[in-house]
Amino acid sequence: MIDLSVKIGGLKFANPILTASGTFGSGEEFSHFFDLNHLGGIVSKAVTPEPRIGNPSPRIAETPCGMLNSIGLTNAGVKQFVKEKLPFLQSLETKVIVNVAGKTIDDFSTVIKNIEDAGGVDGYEINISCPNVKEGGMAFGVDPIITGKITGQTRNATDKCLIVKLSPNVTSISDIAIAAENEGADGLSVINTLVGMAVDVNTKRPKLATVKGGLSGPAIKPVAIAKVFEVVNAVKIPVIGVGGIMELNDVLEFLITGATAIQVGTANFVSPQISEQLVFDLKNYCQKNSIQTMADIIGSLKI
Amino acid sequence: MKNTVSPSNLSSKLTRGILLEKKFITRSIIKMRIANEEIVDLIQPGQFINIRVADSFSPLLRRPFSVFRVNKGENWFEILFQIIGKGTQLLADTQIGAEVDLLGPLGNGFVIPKKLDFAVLVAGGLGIAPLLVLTQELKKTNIPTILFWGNRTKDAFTIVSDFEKLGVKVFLATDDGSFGFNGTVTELLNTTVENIKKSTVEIFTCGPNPMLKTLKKISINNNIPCQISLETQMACGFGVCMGCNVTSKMDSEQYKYVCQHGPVFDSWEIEPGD
Repeated sequence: MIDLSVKIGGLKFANPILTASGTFGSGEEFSHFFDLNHLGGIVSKAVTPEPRIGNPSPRIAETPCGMLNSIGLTNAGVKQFVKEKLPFLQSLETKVIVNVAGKTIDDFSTVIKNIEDAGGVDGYEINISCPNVKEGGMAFGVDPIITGKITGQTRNATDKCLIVKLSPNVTSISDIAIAAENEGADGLSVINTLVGMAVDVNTKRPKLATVKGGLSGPAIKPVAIAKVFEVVNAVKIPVIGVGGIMELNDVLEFLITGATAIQVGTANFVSPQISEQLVFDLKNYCQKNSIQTMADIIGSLKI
Repeated sequence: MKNTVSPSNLSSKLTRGILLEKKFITRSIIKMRIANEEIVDLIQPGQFINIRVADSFSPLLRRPFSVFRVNKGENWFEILFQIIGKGTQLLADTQIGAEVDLLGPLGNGFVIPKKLDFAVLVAGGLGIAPLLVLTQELKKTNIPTILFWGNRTKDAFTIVSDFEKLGVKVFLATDDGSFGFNGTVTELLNTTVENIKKSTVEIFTCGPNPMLKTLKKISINNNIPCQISLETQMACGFGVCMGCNVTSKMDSEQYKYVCQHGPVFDSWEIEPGD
């Protein structure tokens, strides 16, 4: 019997395949494509204390093997989230992680407290790495002191699994990772999008209304692998690999490098059933290669 | 912003079709016929299909295509598109008999009002694409239909016969005056709008945003209801990426999303982009 389960903090996921925030809505949008309970977990779109309408159009631009986005944390606010999105998530057996964002340090614990009162989620992913907002977002995640403060405060707000999502747009991702670990994070998601820009040569205008945006997709996978490598060597807590996962080999690459789990992001837009497919593919791979537990693969990198 | 998942997107299918036929309308405009049993019965006029043009990472994203024509008896539908980049070129290069990766039908299409003396279709360029399925539907309820279609040149007008076969009265315009009215399609419509508005009519339109802006003004000034089909960049097509926002005129604190609330909107709901 193959055991695909992995643990982050006290939280056990049935398998290491999760979905990345902002690419999976609140799950319901995918519920007619496959049984969401086959997934290790779902990470919701970011939730902020107040509603956010997000950035002007255009918000999307395709680039070679990837895409830029500048959505701007569009969401209806935590109260609407609890009312309209949470009941569906609560009905799932798969693990549910709510991505939490904010403009101020206090915003993060405000969101968590609102959701804790409602109950029914398994953990939180602290988004201090969104490149598309003027206040908060990545500005927090490039600073180890603020990262530590937000992690500490959110740690006090919940006993549930606490994951901090890190930005690659920093000089030393290890310093940020250590700051989050020291303040009680159970795990780290590595990485959020890379700051990128594209220009329409005919109009000479940036392709995004916000000029710059976040780059995702297979184009960023090598960067993500390198950042996971750096972070797993800097901290003891589990790392969740994120960035450009499209197929089984990408999953294996992250796990071998030392990630305990992975998140599928941009691929969900292209192949809505891909995250479930990856669970099946991983299981088959383990069967064929006589792998009994995930510990046999995770961190098996040979240098 | 409605915070609920669009019911029409929740019935979409991820499936494969077979390319039955492709026909060049002009050197760069192509009509493709795709067989698929799962999708065809679901398609409503004005909905779109997201196609993965190649099993490749570049281009990475699916491309949205309006459904041009449906044949539910023979289980096929057609799309009409122009080759404008790598994605559309790859799709155009697909061999007859090859599989096509489909996701759809997506979005909310045209709504045909019950009491209508006649329907007025207005298309700019390839904005003609969603209007034939609509015509097929209008024909079912015997609503007389007229079409105003403007193009830069006369080359694409060969598919006008598809409309005429369904009994549509067609008025054409070209920017270069090479065929029909010399000018834009909205100028052409303006020449007869006084007559049109005497009846109970509704405008159904698709085309470039500047045309849609002008048409929106015409419809408001003449008090004619108008349904606009919009096209935007989008990554997913089913309400997840939030990339397809358009300015909402109903609530300035919100955006509308083309795949979730559209692509067809009542003209007063939205303001087409520049």
